[in-house]
Amino acid sequence: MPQSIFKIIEGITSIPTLPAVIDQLGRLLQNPSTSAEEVGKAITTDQALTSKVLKLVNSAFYGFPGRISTITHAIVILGFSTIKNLVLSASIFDAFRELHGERSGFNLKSFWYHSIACAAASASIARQTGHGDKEECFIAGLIHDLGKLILCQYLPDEFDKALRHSAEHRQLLYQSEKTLFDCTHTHVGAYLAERWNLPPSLRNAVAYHHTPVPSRDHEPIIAIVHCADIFVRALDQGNGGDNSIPPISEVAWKSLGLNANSLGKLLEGIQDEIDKASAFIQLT
Amino acid sequence: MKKVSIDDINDGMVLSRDVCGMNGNVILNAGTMMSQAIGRRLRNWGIGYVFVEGTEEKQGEPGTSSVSPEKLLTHLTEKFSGTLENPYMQALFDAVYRFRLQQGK
Repeated sequence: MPQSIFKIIEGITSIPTLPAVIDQLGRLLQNPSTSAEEVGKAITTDQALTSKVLKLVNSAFYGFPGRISTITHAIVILGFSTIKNLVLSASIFDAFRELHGERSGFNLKSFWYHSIACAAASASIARQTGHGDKEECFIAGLIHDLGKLILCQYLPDEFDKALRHSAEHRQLLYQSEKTLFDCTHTHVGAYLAERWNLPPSLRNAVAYHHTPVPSRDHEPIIAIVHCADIFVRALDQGNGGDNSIPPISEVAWKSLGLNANSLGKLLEGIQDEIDKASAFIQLT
Repeated sequence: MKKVSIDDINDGMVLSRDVCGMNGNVILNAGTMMSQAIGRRLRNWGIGYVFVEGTEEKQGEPGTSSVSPEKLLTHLTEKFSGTLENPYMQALFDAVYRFRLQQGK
């Protein structure tokens, strides 16, 4: 990638990091003989993280009767992979907690609302279409626009320019970034995902959510996040910095087997899932 | 069918959809007559809302969250501008318009 913007980002050493527990969980979960206690122990070394994870576990999103008060109990009920993704979600909010890069035309609360809604919508599409993994799609939706936060924080003047350009030309922020810098939030976000050592599926979902083409690796998750972003914009759930809506790619539509007659039902399921995900907003 | 928050459940409302827990187990069947006491129990199960029989018109709070069809149409037309030649966006436009009108937002 030849872009000068990208060079600057690469040189920034203070880019948010994820806690060591994420890598540690990744390693533990690869080992089939890992016990719930071991995973629980790894998580509970971080008390702040533990309380956030428990708050999410006990939210309407998971909808359990009664209170789950220990991580080990949560693991037994939800399983390793769900817990890992919960820890990842909580860590992502934490990593960006210190950023206060509010710009005119870019409201952080609305940004997070858009991201969480996109996460819930991605999970719902995965469940309803039977493509992709629900948990992984949730994370992919959550992080799809993180490149914007990095731009907003570390290149505020350029980001301002892009926001203004997109408002003036009534076009996607993505298009304005591309016109002005030849580098977009999808490049920056994918770079962040790589730096965070996230799996290639998540990296690709971030990198290609505006440009899903056939034969990309991890095609379903890319198509799902692409559609979720569009549906969430159409439902006016939060705001990612622009007021436009990208067209749905034919490839994504067909690969997920969407059809006009069942869209209403799909939207209903998406809205339900977004309503349930409101607990995540409180962590931002 | 209308969506009611758990706190707004009244005696005599009838479920129009099954109420499911997170694992997909049915907690209450469609057709069950509701009461405020059942509502409180559902809340303990982490359920936020249910679907009951009846129409979407708001009781006692006229106009609070209902949206006018004209306004919604204008808003969506502006938002979708430049994309409607795409047949999938046309389908989405129609579905979103109907869905939001029905939801009142």
